[in-house]
Amino acid sequence: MATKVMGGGSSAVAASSHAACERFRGTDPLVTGLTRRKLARAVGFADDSGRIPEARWMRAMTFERLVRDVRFASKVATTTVGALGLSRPSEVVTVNAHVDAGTTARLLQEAHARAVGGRAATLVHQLAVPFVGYEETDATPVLPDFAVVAPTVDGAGSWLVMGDAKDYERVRSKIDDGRLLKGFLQVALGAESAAAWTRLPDTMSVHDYGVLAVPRNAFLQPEALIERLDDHRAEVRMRVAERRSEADARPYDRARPLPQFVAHLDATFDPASCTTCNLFSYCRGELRHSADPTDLLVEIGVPLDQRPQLMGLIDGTGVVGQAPASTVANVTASRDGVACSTHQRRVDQAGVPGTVNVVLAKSDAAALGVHGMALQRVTAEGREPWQFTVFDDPQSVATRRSVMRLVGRQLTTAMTEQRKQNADEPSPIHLVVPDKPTADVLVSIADNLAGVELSRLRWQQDKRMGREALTFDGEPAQMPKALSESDRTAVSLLLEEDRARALTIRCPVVDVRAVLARHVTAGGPAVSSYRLDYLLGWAQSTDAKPLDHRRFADDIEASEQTPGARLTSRRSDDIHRALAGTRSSRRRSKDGSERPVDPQVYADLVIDELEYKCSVLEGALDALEGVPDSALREVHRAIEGDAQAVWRRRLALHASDLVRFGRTYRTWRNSLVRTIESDATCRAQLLALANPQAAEDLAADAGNRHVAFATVVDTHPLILDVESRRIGDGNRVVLLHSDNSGVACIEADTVTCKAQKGSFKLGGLSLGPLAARKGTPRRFVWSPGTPPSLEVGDRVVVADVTWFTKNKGNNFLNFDRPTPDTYSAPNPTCTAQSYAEDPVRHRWCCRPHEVAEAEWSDELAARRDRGELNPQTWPPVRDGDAFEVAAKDAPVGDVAAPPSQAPPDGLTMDDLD
Amino acid sequence: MKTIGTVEFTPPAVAASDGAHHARAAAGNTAVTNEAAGMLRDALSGTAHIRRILLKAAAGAGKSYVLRQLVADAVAHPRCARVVVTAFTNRQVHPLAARIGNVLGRDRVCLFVAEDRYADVPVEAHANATVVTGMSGIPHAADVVIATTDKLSGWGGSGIKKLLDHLGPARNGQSPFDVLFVDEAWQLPHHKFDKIEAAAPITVGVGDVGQLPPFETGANPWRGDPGYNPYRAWPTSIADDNTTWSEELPAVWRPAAGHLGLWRTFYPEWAALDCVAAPADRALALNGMRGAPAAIWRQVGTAVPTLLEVEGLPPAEAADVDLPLMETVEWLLDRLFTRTFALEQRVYDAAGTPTRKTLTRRPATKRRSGDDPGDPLVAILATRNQAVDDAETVVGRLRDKHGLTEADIVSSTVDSYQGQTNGVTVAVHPLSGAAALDEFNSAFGRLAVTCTRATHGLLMVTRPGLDQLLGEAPARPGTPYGEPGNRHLPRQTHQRILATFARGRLSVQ
Repeated sequence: MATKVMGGGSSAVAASSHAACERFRGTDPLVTGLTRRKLARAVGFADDSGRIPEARWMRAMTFERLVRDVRFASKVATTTVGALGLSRPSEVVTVNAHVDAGTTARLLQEAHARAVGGRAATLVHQLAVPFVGYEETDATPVLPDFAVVAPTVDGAGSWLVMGDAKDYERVRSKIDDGRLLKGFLQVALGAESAAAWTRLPDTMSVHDYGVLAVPRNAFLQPEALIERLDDHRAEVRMRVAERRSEADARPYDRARPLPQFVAHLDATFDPASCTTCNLFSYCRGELRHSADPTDLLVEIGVPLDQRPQLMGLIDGTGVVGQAPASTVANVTASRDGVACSTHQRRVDQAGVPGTVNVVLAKSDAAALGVHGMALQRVTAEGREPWQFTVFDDPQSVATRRSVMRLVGRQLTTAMTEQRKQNADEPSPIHLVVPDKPTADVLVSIADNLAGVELSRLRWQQDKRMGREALTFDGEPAQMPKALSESDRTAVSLLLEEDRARALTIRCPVVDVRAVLARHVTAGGPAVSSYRLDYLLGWAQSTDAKPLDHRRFADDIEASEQTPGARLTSRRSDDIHRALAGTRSSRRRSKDGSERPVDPQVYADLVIDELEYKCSVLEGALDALEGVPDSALREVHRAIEGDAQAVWRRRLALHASDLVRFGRTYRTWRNSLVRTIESDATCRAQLLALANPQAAEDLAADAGNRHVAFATVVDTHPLILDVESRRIGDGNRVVLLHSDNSGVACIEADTVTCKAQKGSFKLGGLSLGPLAARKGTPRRFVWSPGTPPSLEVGDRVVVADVTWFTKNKGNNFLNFDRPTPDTYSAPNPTCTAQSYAEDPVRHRWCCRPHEVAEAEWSDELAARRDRGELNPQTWPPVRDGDAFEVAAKDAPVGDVAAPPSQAPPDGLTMDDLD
Repeated sequence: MKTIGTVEFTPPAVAASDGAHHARAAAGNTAVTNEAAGMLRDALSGTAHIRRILLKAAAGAGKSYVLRQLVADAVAHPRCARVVVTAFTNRQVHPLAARIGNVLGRDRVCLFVAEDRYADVPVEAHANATVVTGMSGIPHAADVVIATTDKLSGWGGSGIKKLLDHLGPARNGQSPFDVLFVDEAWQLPHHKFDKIEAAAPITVGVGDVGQLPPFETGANPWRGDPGYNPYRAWPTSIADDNTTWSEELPAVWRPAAGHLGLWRTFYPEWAALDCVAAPADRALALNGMRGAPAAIWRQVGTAVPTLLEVEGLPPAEAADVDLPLMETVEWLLDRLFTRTFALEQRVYDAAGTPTRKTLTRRPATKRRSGDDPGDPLVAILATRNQAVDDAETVVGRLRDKHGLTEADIVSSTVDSYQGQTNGVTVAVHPLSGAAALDEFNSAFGRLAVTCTRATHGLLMVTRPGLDQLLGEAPARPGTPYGEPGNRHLPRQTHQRILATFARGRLSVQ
């Protein structure tokens, strides 16, 4: 009998993600007897999209190895046991089942005996457990990375806590919840399978909780996260039962050709979520060649409930129902091959003097690894030449410091120039990046170095006081180098960006992709516009040179390079092989330990990659120069300027300038609530004022009460039909956009904008009250203070004035200036001596980090003396700071140490991510 | 509205048939209340080093009654000169003033409100408490001051200090009050609580742990952050230290016995949750109704939560702004009010033992001015703004047509209805018409408020497709990792809740 291919832990995730698709369910390996990858090949659409880059694979293997390292294994086991409220084990034993079910059963028996007999905990690695419901058949097993066996509190039995190791990246020190869910679903399949296994010892029970080992820091050192699995297990149970019944109900007749069988099954296609399915290219190809023109809506991912409203754009009738303006633009652009303008004018700061353009090539081998970086400063004279740097050891501390040093130098120069222009109120400075992951890598590096610097300050105090410098877990620390002032400028600005993450108007780092997306709507799947080169291609399209959205998407997908931080799999593999070598290339080289193994190829590839990124970023800046400035651009600049004035004081006095968002303390967070609220309101108001498409989306949103469409029925007097059940008689409305001008009303020459201390004041807009007319519900006479130029039949967007202001007049529209985050920041009058002269008065404004960390170091030492810290205390306490500092002799993951290897054919990114 | 065929209901897959009723159930709450009162006395006397007392209640547990008792106990204590009672909204503090004043007397209770909210203060509050708008107006003789948290923390956050300046320290010698009582404590975010915590050395928090979390404007960037989160309900951050006493009230008074299974799904971690009402203690008596509406209201009258799937409607504007479905609700309610109906319930004494009385309430009953209108017979609850407006319009039309008042039918946003009670609740299921599970339709606090208001019946309406959605939607995470709350997933939670409903389908043309 042929082995049943079950698909392991990732099958549980995939089954849950694609359950709505009949084709996915009908092509289960249980039905076809083929892995999904082989099936895709068999139907003529070999799948390359989910392929794992070699560097990423090597990283996963390095992480698994670290989890098995005896030092971490013991820590993972004790943290798990402690978090579950069990007793401290007498010892931790580590064993390996080498993915063999027989060995797994034997080792679990032994671990159980150790738990019951000696109260020991055991970490079992590389288990193999029969797939739940298929123990008696020849089916591929589930392969949990590890499990912890620990005695029950009463000592009569043991708990089996199932686990998995996942080298999930932390983005700004947090692992995405969606990823954790996927990880725990895989753990749940292990738990469900173990619970059903007949070879488990009698008094061993599978615990309700499971554990994921994830990287704690950039060095891949693991930490354990535990989660209750009841519902996760119910989810996988449901999916396994579905797979089984599907296989029983609709078996595949092997006499029937596979392409015919697959084509017969209906697909539920979504270009955003289907990319993790091996049949993605097949289904997309099918839609591309469909005889039904309205399948275009499916192909580009228009939501099911909006498709009927948009059919008219495709079938030639042109009739459009109520649909978001952005979706209408997306479909129109796909149909015509020309991007649609949002008619918003520029409010961003990209390309202005005082900005520094940054692109970087991120290594797949490490969360904070960088192969190379290019920088370009923009001065009053224009863009300077790019400066390229290639890093030969992408994940080293030295590389991270170099990245900050290079950025810091450019920022320092930019600040100096801004001061020359205006010494009292210098304009803000910005880093300009091609995508969000670039900003995330830079901020994470800054956070890493800030943590190291703060730790150094604490350990210096230890030395001063004659104490041994210890990590939070009580291991000997390694004293790092101090952070230079120029490095600090970069680190500090990037942490300012991190603290401003909840403030949507702030922009210490400008994401050019998001800026360009504000102005143009591309054709094709909306998800494709998350690549800057794709969006740029559309921004450059014209009626004379339209794009074929399919061919263009294929060109972008086939491109060797990317515009953002992450590389294509092909380029990533080439670079990693040039860096780490392959088994054969290492044999050929004289000294296999030298890195890069092939320095010239490595440098050429990295430079080529960076040059592409630079050209795309500059192309985007050029495209943006064609967009006129908005009257609100200065409003945005003023808001950022207010905030950077505070930041400069923090930096100058070393006062709370190295605090990332996650380390702001209690009272600071309380004060941020008001800042966040004022930012959210102001952002929504600015967007509605400046962006006609966004305002139309708001008006079309049935749940929104502030913004509405209206149609001009008469001009003398001015009569409007208002499409809102909320805005009506007695309400005052302001005209935001009218379709006869093409741009927002705010951009008219007659509109004035005045920045006041607590608000911005707009003059020249049309606002005034609505008055009901008898017998015509939703039809109102409108009496604005400043009459607009409108014609009968114009469809306009209006907003309720009370959304902006409580003012009663009909000549000016005021809206509040958001409050900057001034908490724990020096006042304008604080000097470098203020704290030393009066520490009590200046404790909460300009106390420098040097003093604060010394005080905290003393506090930690006192707690350690009282036995309140690890390893003395039980259960272990968590380090809230989570600085990325490793103990002196702790093993560190070096992904490039072994030669590069290709991942096994059967695995996809779903197995790792 | 033209209906096709008949409507038949399948019973719920899960029904709570265990547990105690009447006095046996109510005794659980009494025991916990007595214990809390003892703790508070000990804390005031200084014989126990307790700084916080937390009473966790399920919806309809009678916590307002418990709070009144604890306030009365505190002010009777020789080492307590003055207490302050607070909650998040004016809507919550106004009835507190009326009820506490009713127990202690008007002169001993002061309601402190903002000047622009003075006009909203109901007559009962004026009758039972001294209502002031300025701090200088708070009488020194008042034993109990009642105000919203924003009012207490006014003056740029220095409100408590100003109160200390005006009133002087209470018996504790440092703070203006000896006890700070917080009603609906789990709805109050930490950043607001921090501004009033200094009001007294002892805090008593009473609230419903399964319902609406604190309101958030904009993004909550600390969601999942293991550290302090200013948006979280303050009691969730209180460590299990030895200065905090915390207990659950194990019984609920509000629901009919058939609703207990649904109630329990919102408090999955509780060791026990009993219902004072026994089966057949409540009834919805119908008169002369026929056809589909009769079948539907009869089912609602069985006091088992009812889910009605309506098929054949024209498309909705949006999944959660569904005018055709709301019009179906209007049609059903119109049928109900056209025929006479009555809500009947056995009356219990304070201990939960049934008396010989039965309370019967009918719509459009004439009342004398000043009469307590009681809880409304019917409430339509909606979530999003436009849907609320539509519900309001429906209620307006029904009132006009049948001569009804707010004692008969009301509509409200779910968010502002926490703490309220009514006879029959009608609402649209949050997954109706949805294409996927998202943050909004899987906000179980809001769903809990919707499901736990009614004393007699719950009718949820939906378009068909709930089971398909729950079978096919991609799994999504529940409470973010690191946040307080249970660790359940949205799909399974929805399924557990739906399993407690009787279900039927109405076809319309």
